[in-house]
Amino acid sequence: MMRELKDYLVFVARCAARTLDGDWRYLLWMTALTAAALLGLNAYCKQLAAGLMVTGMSDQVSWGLYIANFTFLVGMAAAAVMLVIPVYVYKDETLHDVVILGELLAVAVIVMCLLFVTADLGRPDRFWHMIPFVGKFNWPISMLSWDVIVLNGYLALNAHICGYLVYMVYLGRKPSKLWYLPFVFLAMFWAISIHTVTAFLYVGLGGRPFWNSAIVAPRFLASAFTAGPGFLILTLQVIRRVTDYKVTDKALMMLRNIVQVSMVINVFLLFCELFKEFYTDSAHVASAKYLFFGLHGHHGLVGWIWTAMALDAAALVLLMLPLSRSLKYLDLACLLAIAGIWIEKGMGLVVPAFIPTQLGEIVEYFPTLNEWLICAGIWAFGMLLYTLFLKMTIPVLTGDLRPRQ
Amino acid sequence: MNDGPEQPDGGAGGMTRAAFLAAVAASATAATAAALSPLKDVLDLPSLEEFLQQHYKELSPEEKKAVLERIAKQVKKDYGVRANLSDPPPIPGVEFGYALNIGRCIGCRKCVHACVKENNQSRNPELQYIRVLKMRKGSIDVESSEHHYEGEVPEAGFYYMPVQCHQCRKAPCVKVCPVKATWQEPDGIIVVDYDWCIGCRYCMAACPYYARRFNFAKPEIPAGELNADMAYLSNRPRPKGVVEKCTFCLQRTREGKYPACVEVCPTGSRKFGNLLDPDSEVSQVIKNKRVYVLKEEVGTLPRFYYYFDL
Amino acid sequence: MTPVPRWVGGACVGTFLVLAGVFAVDLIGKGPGLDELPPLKPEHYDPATVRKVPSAMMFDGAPCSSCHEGLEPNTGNPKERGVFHEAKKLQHGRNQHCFNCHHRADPTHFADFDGAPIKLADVQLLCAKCHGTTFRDWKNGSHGRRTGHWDLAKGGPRTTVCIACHDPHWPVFKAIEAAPGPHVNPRARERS
Repeated sequence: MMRELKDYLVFVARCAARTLDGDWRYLLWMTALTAAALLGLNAYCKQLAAGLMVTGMSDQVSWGLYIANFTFLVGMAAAAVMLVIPVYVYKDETLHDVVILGELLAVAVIVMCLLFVTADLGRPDRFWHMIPFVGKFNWPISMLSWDVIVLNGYLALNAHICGYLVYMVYLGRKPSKLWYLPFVFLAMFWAISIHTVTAFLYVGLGGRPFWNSAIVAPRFLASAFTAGPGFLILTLQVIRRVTDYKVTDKALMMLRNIVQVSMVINVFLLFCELFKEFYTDSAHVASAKYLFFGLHGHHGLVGWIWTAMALDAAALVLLMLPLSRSLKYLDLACLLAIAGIWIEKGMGLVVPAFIPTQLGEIVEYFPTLNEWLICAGIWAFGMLLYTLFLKMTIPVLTGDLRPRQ
Repeated sequence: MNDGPEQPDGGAGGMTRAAFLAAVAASATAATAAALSPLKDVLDLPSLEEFLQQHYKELSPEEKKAVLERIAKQVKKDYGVRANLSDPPPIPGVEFGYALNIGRCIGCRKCVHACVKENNQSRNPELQYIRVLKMRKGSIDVESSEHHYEGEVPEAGFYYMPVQCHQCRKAPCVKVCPVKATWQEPDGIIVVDYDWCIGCRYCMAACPYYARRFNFAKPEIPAGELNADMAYLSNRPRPKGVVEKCTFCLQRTREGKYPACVEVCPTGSRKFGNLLDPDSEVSQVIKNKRVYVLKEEVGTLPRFYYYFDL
Repeated sequence: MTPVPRWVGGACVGTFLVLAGVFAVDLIGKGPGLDELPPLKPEHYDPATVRKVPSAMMFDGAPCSSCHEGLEPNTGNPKERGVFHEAKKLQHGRNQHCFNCHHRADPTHFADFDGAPIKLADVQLLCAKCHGTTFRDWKNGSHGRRTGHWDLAKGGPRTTVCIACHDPHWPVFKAIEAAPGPHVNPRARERS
């Protein structure tokens, strides 16, 4: 037992040591990410000292960029499932080699999600109130308590699957099915659940008609399965360029299929939502009107949402054309789709539900520089984590790192 | 890691990896330390006993006493006032209800400010529990309301509809709280344990009546204006980063008094009492008047009723 | 491990040192602060009633009896007769006659339908002559101002009579200055 533990620790230490190595591109990349993360840390310290008054949020618009990013990122994390399903359910081996990279991304992204939620808390010092059995957890009534469980559970599941499989590759042993297959299948359902629960967070509020719509969860999943695999298409190309890890074009094209279909569904569901809102034209259309056309002279989100619409449309057209079988155009399409969905789910879904307020007042939301810095810092930290994970695991996966004899 | 010996020098244009790592570690540590420097402005760090304090409902009588003493001491320190801090329990057989005569309200906003004074709300940033809506006669669409009217009231052609916490029977704000920091008391009042709230603001998103407020900064109240008669679950000074709301002035109403907004209303538009007592003012209003609840369609079953005379 | 080109080392270390400097002198700041807000004014939460209720029937500070003591019952319209009452503005709907309320023979009292006097202390009975439903509402608490205790066990409410809020000669409330409205949060304003 002690011996196995020691072997494992040696494995971790040797992987970690790999993160210190790397060429100038790696060093500059890591420096840039660390610098951005530090800017975020500094901004967060200011927020801790002064309170959330350093953000653009108000009593009227009580959630902003933090929760918007959180929502988007939960989707990114859930998207790992789109790599798992073909490999483990349909036994299609095309994506076999990149599944683990997708799951590592999920781990890094969930950490970002948790950081965004923490940044949004007025009293982060009281986080322990949320720990089951220690604090006072409002489960199963509160959707947020579900979110705490599913997010941390998903983090643990993916960390276990990645850790176990990579360690087995390192040891040169065949992984025992019992130790990962049940977890892989559980994680599959779990991935759907994290984004569904996050959607229910909004859907369950009868006082916010803009959110109180059953289509939000399917919309979330569709947009997540566009943005997540889209992000992986970009990352995988970077990985195969800067490391010895083999990523086939076939795998990228399979991801393209996923992104393509998801994007079509995403745009269709968005259209359904818009039809319902605007054709009905009830009093509840106010938020959607504010978002798309402005309301009573206030136009704070109009620029955002039309940018998102344009990006979505361009991405959709590109993805549908055979043109995007060329990687250059596929990359462009993915970039457009990610940016479009980020806006659509963030500024386009979280913020307008607060405008006008429950009492019809219009107070707009303008994120402050401090808020942007915190967001950028968390993104940078997440990317930093993901880079470190890759740096640690890829030598193992390529067979470069093996136990010393 | 390549386990060979360290290369002594990277050649003319280079530095050894070890030297590089040492320099980066040192400079990054310096940058991190500098990044953390705003923490020196954190002045309201909770003490260990505050940090470890249990949920209100878990406190034993002795613990509760100790908590009340600690808060009173803090009030003395911050405001130089000896607080009459209590924790009045709900009265058995009482369920509070509120009725507001929109035919009589003139929109003078005295209730707003009496509430601020009574409940020790932050003056800056400004925090108010009551919002008075100026509505066009014949309309109940809040979206066409005016919140920022000024000058002489009442204005012809308009009526005024003050909105505050409706103390809903099926309260969405209570349902969504991830840590049970807000709950409904047996007398119907929905309270917040300011020492337990984590400040996620989910309840604010859930409330259909815009009744909840968040302390975006440390509340600021002039020492001379502090109301020293305070209760744990209502008007004691709040910390930064927590949500608060109207509690029907439970520090007053559980002692049998009227809430401050009822007490101050110059037109007698505000009615308060025990819903379980058929002779109380609210019961009489509900029985005899044209009564409606705001946003009935949301289905939260408020204990706050609007009525009008014929 | 491989060596690091000098410029890369310089760039990395330099970035962190510059960053440390930026943080140390706080070049970034933290954005909008708080507005100056005027303090709460006592008149904005003063619980006084709109009017004061006199304890005796008065006119211009003098008790009615100081002029009307021992006189014959009044006849005609007082506004057309005296130098005292002609300026009294009466805006009480269609109720435009002094003696609909005031007692012709005994000006220190009001008059009931049958000519029986109503004391000032019972003024609600006078108003009830016309405003029966309002009087009913007032009695059960749905009309009129109540202060003190809702709880009868603690002493119960203090009721307020009609004329403590309504000027009997002009019962519709006159316009008053509204207390200040909500302050627009500086964070919610657009920054250019």
